[in-house]
Amino acid sequence: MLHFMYLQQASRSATRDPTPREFGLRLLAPIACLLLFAFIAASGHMTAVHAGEPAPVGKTTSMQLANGLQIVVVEDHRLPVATHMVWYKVGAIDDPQGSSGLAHLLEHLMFKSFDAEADETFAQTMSRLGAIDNARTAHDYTYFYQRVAKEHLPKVMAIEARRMSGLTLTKEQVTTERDVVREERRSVVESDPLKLLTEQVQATLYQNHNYGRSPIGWSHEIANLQQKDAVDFYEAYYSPGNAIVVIAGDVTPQEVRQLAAETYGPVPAGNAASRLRLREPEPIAARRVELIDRRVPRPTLFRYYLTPSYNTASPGQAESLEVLMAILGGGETSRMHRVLVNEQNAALAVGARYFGKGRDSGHLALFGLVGQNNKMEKFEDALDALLADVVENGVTEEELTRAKAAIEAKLVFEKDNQMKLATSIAEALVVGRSIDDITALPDRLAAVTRADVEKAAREFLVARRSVTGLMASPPRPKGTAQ
Amino acid sequence: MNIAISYRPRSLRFWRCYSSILLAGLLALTAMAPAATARDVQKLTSPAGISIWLVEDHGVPLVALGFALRGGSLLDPPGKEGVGSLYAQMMDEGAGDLDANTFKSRLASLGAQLSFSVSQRALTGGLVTLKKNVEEAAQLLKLALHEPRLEEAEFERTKRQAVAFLAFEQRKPERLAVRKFYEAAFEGHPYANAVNGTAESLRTLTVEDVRSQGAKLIDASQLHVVIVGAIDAAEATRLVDEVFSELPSGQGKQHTPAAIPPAKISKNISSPSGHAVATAVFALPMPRLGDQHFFTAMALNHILGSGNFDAWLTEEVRVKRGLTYSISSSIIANPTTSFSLGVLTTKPENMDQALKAVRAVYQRMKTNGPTQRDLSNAKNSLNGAYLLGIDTSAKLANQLLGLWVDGLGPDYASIRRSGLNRVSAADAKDIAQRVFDPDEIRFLIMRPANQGSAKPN
Repeated sequence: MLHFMYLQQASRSATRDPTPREFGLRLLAPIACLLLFAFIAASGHMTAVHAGEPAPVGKTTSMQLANGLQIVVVEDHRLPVATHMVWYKVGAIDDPQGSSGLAHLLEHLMFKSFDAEADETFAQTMSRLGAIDNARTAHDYTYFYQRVAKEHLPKVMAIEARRMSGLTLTKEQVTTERDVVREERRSVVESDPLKLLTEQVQATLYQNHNYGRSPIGWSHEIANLQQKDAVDFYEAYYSPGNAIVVIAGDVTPQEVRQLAAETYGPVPAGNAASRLRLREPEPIAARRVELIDRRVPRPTLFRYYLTPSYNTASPGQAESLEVLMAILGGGETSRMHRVLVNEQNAALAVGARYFGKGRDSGHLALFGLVGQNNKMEKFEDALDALLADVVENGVTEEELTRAKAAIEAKLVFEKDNQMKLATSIAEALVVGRSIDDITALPDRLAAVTRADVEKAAREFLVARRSVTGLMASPPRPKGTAQ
Repeated sequence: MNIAISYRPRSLRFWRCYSSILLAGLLALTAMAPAATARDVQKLTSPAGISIWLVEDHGVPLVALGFALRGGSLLDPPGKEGVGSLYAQMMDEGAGDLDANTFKSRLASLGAQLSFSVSQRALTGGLVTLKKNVEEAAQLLKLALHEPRLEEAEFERTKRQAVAFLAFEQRKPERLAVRKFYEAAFEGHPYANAVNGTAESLRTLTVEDVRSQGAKLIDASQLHVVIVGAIDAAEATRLVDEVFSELPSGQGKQHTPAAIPPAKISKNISSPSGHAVATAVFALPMPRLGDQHFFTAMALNHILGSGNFDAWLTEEVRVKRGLTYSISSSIIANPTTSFSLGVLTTKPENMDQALKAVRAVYQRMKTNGPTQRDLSNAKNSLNGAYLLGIDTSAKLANQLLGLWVDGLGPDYASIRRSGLNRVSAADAKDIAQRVFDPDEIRFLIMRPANQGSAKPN
């Protein structure tokens, strides 16, 4: 399903309904709103540039201001536009005990600023500039972005610099926005059994780490969040030394250096609170969760396995997991699709992905859209048999070649999308990886061998590392119509 | 770590199938002058006479090729809704000498992405491939276009997937409510039909149905090709002829349904799926595409319903009252219909209060019109988003195809920009008064079963 991701992007702007073929992707989408894979297209990083020619797409340069703020420039001179992002090293894992959802609520509240000078709200400024803007909160980080015509870059930098310190919030703003977040949870998560199931699976997978908590927060805790909580959290974590600014687009490092000095330079350094860094205990027992809900459209199974992330893995391990998942569940020629959908007719759609971008941990996610209640057991047996076969007998050279071809193409396609390009780089930097590390990733992925993949399968496709999540609708009472 | 949530709701993209103008309105390209030169569209005709729009761009070594054959789901025979879509789904399930698995393996080995789909008014296909693999990937496209195998086993599986897919789509209350709105507001008209059909219609379809629908859809007289990427005009025309020049030409008959606005409905329904939220769909007829007031209406709808935080609906219903996470209204326009379509989801007990606020917003638009700042910000925002929304080669190719399907040229971007820029304060006030009438709003409100049903009006 990997190779449909790009097309799905395209199709959203096409004149059509989404197609069933995008299914697998959509099923995994709820657990991965952000870019799913850690492939980074920063290959221009080391490239020499001839005078007078624009830098190649993806050329990446990093600099630091005296107040500790890191600024990263990713060049893309194809269109006169820029993508400006501020990433804070704070996220839902930093929500205090009992206050889940606080990081996310604060992200919402960051939009309450008012520009007295221009007499306009944040939203009005964005409209006036013709910007596309938004923000996101994940477990590890929170980020804000604006996409603008190049000439408006200084303005959006000034705005982000201003809200990097001294945010003021009224009590009423906080309580109203809290209601909005509860509506968000209700309409986005609680209306969707798929999201509820993956929330449960994730909560079960992590026995110690805050990755087990929903980043939007649990409903009863969101309801108790107070103005002071938000302000304290902001004061503790929002400062230049705890942030990374990534600017992608038709800009040079020289231009950005100057603009950054003018806008972000004067922001007081501040001291960010230290972040708790938890580790999972070695798992010892396979776990299961079942969601019975009459809104479930078709019985579906998810299987997660706890693994390291790129950030915590030993050399080559994460890359091997990436390739393993592409072989198992990346698209319609993957092992799972061939065996479980085509040959055995045990599922209608399947997919597999490695979630390896976390600061402290990663996991594998496999799913099967089973279709009928009475087929669930057969599917699970077939899946287990398939995984056992991979662990025992390995993968073929052909499977490896195909997976790598998809990965190579994906790296190029990703580079075509400025927002994805910037996001990928930022997402790696914000959890502590280096630009060189990111730049070398394509080579490291290309170097993965069959033996690497097989070793990863043996090590991580192990029942005790897993959580199996099932969802189905309740059986109909006897005598009711179908 | 992998879960992220946004301040701003993702735009409700699902109704875009009904219009490319809508997305032209929301996203699109070249709104700002420099971009027009950065992404010039070359209009070409191949030696075999096929029309091509080419955007040559060597920035990234890939080629995105899209084609459209006018026709689409409006050609689905009554009772066989979804047959065109199913044909598209079957096109890469094996072709020529290659069975489904071999075909897909070849494609996968190239790292190329190929997909086919049907919208209301076109069958479209897209190929995205590394430049170095473009020849081989194009051969696979050619095979799928000319000789899809349509084998029974693949057909049955594809059909089961399509039925399950519909069920998954409709787990989302917004999507279900919009579907119900279309069924009610366009009752008896082809617009009421879903592109992907219904579970009932899909179950009755046979391979023969799909094969004969394919013969109607694959009609070279209705063909247009768009290419974006690292390829020049000579290569592009040669490639297009290689792939498309032998396609059969049909009679070129097209089904253009009668022009129709959404009927004035006011409907309360119960959610059949056990949703715990209430969803409202609200719509207003708008000036048609080509009407001199079209862009005025686009700007006014944006002021109300862009979903940005300065939009009136968002301000009143979300920012001030905290009643919803997501409320927006988009213009759906194609050559035969034009209307705004808004959606709002909230707690069932808050729906009446939310609807009251919605009606008040429309009343304010009708009575006062927008402020000068509203209007000028709307123009900037619409123009800016148009450029920024097209951020990949494949999106650009799709965008251009959509324009062609709607009978517009690649210069639509500049027509749109100047159309918007020409909107005066007086026009805006006039159209606000004539079009944004709260008494004309069509409503469909979906509530959980057993939640009572207050009247929308």
